Amino acid sequence: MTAAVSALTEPGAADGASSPMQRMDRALRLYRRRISRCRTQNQLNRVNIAVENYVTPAEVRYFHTALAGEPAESPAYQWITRLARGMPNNIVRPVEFERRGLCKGVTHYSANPSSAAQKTLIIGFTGIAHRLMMPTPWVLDCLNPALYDVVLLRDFARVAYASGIPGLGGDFHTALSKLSTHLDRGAYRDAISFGTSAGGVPAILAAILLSLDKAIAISPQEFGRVAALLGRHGLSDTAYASLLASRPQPFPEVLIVCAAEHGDDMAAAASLQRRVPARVLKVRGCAGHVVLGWQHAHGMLPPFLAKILGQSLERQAPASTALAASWVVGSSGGPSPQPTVARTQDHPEPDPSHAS
Amino acid sequence: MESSRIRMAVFEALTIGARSGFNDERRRRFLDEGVNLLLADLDMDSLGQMEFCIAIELSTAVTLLPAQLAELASTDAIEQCIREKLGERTENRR
Repeated sequence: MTAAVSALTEPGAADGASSPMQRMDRALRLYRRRISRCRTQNQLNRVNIAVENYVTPAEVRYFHTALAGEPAESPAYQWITRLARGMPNNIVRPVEFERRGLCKGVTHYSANPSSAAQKTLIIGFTGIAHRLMMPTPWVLDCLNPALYDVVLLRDFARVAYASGIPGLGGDFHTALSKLSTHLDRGAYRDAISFGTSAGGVPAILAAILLSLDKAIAISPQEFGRVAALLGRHGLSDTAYASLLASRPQPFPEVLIVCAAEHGDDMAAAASLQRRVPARVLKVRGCAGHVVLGWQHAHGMLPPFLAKILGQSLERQAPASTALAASWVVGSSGGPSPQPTVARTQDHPEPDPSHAS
Repeated sequence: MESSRIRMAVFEALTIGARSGFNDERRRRFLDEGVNLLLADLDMDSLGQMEFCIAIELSTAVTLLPAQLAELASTDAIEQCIREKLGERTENRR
């Protein structure tokens, strides 16, 4: 988050004292005020990026409608048009995600907190850009808010969450323990950590620490790189190494996703797989680090998310990975019934520490 | 602004904008050996380019735009561009 838009993104955005419409209107007024102060394109980009990192699909639609009267060449119009057009489904749902900042580094997206038993909790560990490889509303737009709650964590110190999360605690363990007091993980149907890039290893660590059902790490860094980063900042990697080497039972299912044509990321995935029992899913044809962005650009983000989550994004019934993927592809209205998300290679390997 | 501070500004901006492409080996060579890195090798996506330019503007007060990066193409050219813009600014103040 940048200070430029802190008022837009600060904790308590959904304060309960105002309606969703009032809150969206307040956010829009703040946005207009912020961009009116921008003097360079970089300042404008900074505001827009920060807003993209936080807002919900409903807020995007609200902004899009409100800014529709702006001149077509205005930066605000061009930005919101690109953001709105990029929504993978762009469905107006009976219930919508609302955004609430639990504290500076934690944003909770939920439609109805009273029905957690029907929901999957996704704890998102954003990377260095404070997003899950794409604007947050694009990810949220793929998920049925009746079935998912999302908590996004942000690492402002950019040290793989080792210096904690602002508002929760000054180290990884303390921050996640405190997070557990805000979220009743046990009330949810299941809970999954989901980390991208620099958030990949922390997502795996969190799943082990919090006994989550599953960890998904997209293009994670190899542990040596994380350890080197911590070392450069005078932080010890001991706690991370111990946690990664621990094998509490039941151990979470760990899925590492990487681009099959990206050498560094493939090496990082293989290296991590030697440290922790995990499956590696290689995305064929993808040469970039930003795997989710690649799936989005190919129109395949919803089925790909269903595949890696191992469940439908839209329906309650638990389903196998294959069923979930084929259902989503079949219902997406896409031109081909072929489950192109299957253009991946799955590489399960036994836990090396158990091999002997 | 000294050349070393400009180079550090570029370094910090790359850590934010280039993310995966600015790996440990390239970081070491950039800082210790003073190598010139080609942006094409750094795997910067459009967001990364924006973040890079924002970081440069915040640390040097020089405005570089994402659209200029393709033309500049390398870290040496970016440093040179920043030096020139800062030099022009100093001249204009005299």
